Amino acid sequence: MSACAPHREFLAAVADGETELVPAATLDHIKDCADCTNEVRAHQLLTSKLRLAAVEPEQAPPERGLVSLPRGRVRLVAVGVAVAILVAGAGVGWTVISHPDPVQAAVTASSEPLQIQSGDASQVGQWCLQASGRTLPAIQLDGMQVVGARMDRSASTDIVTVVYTAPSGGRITVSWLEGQAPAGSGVEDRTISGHQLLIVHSPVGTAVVIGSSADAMWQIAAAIESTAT
Amino acid sequence: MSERSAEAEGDMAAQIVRLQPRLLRFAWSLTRDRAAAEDLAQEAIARALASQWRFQPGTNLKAWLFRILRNIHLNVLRAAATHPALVSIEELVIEPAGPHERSVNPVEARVIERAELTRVADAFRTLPPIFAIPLYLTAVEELSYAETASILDVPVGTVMSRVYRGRRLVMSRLAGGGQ
Repeated sequence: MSACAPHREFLAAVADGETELVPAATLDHIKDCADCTNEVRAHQLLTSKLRLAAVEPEQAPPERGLVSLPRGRVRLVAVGVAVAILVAGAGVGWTVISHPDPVQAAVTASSEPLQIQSGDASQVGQWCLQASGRTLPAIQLDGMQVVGARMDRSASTDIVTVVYTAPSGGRITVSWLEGQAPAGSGVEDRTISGHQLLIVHSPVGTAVVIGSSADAMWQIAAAIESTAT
Repeated sequence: MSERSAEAEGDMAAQIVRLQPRLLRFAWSLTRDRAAAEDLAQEAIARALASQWRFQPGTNLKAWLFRILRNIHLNVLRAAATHPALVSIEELVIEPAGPHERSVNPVEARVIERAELTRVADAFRTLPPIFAIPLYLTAVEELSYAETASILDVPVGTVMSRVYRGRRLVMSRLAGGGQ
């Protein structure tokens, strides 16, 4: 029996934040165990995907009667892949970041002050739209509250960063990288300068997701990855 | 009845009715029959509306409604002299070696990352109800393990175990190891 075996059945509870049900020994073990940490992340990702797929045990009948979106659902128009055009006179300036690597630049941008602050998703979307001149894809982000946005430029890449507050209260930033040609779809898990981040490749573009809540980050990554053009 | 309490009741009634689609989905997951699910959801709403005063403010309305629905379902089964979903031998031995006996390997993790939502949903739908229902309530309906345990009338540890095993089965099936 491996050292992980007695702890495995608690990993789903850890992934779901039900840590009061988990023995302290398991929580200690996970801190030092890469395999268990990976499995917790896998559970979190799968939960995000199940939620997005809105699965039922079998094909449910069509809904009848009143249908409403869950509270807190934000339909935010996010900035797409080819954010290329700065609209002169829009009152928006691109801030130059010296990192040649756009992902590192996105990390820097994530901690910079916002250029627009608003809890109104459509207002933030409009601001990004005016600055970029792009038709933007819509991404469904359950429970995320938009906070604002900023724009930066790194070498040949323009970066549009949108900031959210997760339901848990953590801050999540999504930086869209212009000029990064979509390479299929998938999510890369990386750590840069002490920041854990997800690089999401999707049909609508490449985005860098950074935040304090792994669950919320994976939720956003799954939403972006599954968004069609 | 005071004007204020009447208004509060009206608000709650609206909230209950608004949850009808969720109730219908949960009823479907229990009955797997369209007509029975519709009857069950309707009956649950009617009973909830008639006994709104029993709801404890500050607790989860959806969990309360799901519990009412689940109780009605159990009563229907009892009245029909049938037994509620017993765990079949097939379900108990569904993982002979059990993917939970080992960690998620990097290939499986990658498969989950790349899996399209339709594939995830398809893999989920192959789960036996004993795993699918707790996973549905926690993952999709975002209910806590305690709320789910209360709805299903099982210990919270059972919910934890079934959620874990259910997710491992979905992962295994996404990776091509399922049945």
